[in-house]
Amino acid sequence: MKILSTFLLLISLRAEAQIDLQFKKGLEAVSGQIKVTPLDCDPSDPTSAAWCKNLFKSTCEVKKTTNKSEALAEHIQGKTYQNLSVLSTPSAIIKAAETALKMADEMIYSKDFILKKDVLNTFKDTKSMLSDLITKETGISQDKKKTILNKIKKVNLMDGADYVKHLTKYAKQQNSELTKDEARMAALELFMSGCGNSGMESNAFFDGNNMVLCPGLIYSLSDFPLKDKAQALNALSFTIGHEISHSFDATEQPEIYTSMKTCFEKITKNPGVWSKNGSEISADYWGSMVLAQRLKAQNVKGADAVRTIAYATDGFCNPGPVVAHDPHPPGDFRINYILSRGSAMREALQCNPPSSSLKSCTTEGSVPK
Amino acid sequence: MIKYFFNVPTRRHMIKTIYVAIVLLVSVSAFAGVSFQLEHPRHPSGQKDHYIIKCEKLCSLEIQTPESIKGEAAAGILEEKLRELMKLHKNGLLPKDLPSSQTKVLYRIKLDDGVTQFESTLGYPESYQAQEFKKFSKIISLVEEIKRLMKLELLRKK
Repeated sequence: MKILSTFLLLISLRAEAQIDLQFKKGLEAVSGQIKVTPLDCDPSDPTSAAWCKNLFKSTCEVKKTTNKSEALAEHIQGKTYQNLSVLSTPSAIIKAAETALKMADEMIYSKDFILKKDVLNTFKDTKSMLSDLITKETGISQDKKKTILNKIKKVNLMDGADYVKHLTKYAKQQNSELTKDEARMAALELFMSGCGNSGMESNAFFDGNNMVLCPGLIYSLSDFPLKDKAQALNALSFTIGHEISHSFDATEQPEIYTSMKTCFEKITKNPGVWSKNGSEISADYWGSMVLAQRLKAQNVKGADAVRTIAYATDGFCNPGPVVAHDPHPPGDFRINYILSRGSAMREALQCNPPSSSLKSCTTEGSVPK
Repeated sequence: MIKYFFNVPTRRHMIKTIYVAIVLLVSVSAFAGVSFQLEHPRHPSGQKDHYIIKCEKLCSLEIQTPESIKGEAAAGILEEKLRELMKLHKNGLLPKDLPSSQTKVLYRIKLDDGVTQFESTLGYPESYQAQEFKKFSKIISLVEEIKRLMKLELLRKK
């Protein structure tokens, strides 16, 4: 009887256990793969700041001071979706979604925070910075450079309304049976998948040749105690650089990252790190190069540079459960092994340059060799 | 001998019959409902939102975003939508999975109705063309409807 009841209990738990099994397996697999230890600072420099030893820890100590972004999301949600019910018609849902999108696109910008033209200028600057960096790279062939520069040139920045308009056209091209309204509904749903139904998710993505910064991602920066507008735009330049770089990341152009791959596999002592996370690592690399250049150009140093990095990497400290097939490496790896190690970034952070105990991985291999 | 021929095989036969009956009963009733998990990674942070539904008579709902909400709802329309999603899978109407190394992931979906389970990884719209795009927009439409229903149910009870 006891055996039977145990058997029954086991069977009844089976279904639930199966649901979580894959995720748990993934957690073990991923957490077993990358182990991050705090950075060792050069012992010859006793004045090294805490962030030279562990930038991840320092950035995670920087907290948001307001909750404006969530309040705006709730406000938009309340104004648009409040009267919808499970029985609402598709046209009512379209109307709510369009109003929400319009509100989000307009309400995130203000002269007290940043303007739309500021974001557009940052995007243009980032593109030109990435083009310069690629042109100056010595480890990339001329042909490859041409291909990459062309890819960078083709990237467009779209806000919510632009993206929906573009997707409506795309949906109609791919499925000629759709009516104009059906294509519009499909486009709005596709936009909501990426940015949430009020557009206020903190997300950015690269689709085709188009880069979309969800209104929520831009506005979430206003919750930090910003020193000035430039600080917000510098933080945003990391995300913009990261997303544009997905057009020539390790999945798209694996040949240019051969030396970087070897370097990361060596410093992490993990041969699987690149095949799993290479695309995100390469995008983070270029994003951090862009950010470092901007910090240098604007003479942002030390603690101010740390704060800007913290704003740029919002969400890296608490990414939630680690799951299988996650292309994003853990936040501590991204900050301590990618963002903090480049020569230009270390200069901005007022830390010692990369050393043999603290190598930086670049497209030309490790620095120092 | 008499004891062996009459009692032992009879008892064995009975135990075997009961065992088979229990196994049949349990395998049918162990998970008569349907469970759904949706994972939405945000970029570049890698933060993940989760939408979880488990329906058996009632549906338990959970949205794990930076702020999590939990609640319950009548199975009716939600379970119907999940079964519609399963039907798409069974009829081969889901778009092809994105390679696991792909970074441009929009959604990862897991669905289990106790008999069939499937997992699907979806990318952003321009990863799909023609017939694949038709399949993609159908599943996105259904997923967005499920998310909307979850939010409406949870906000209504908030």
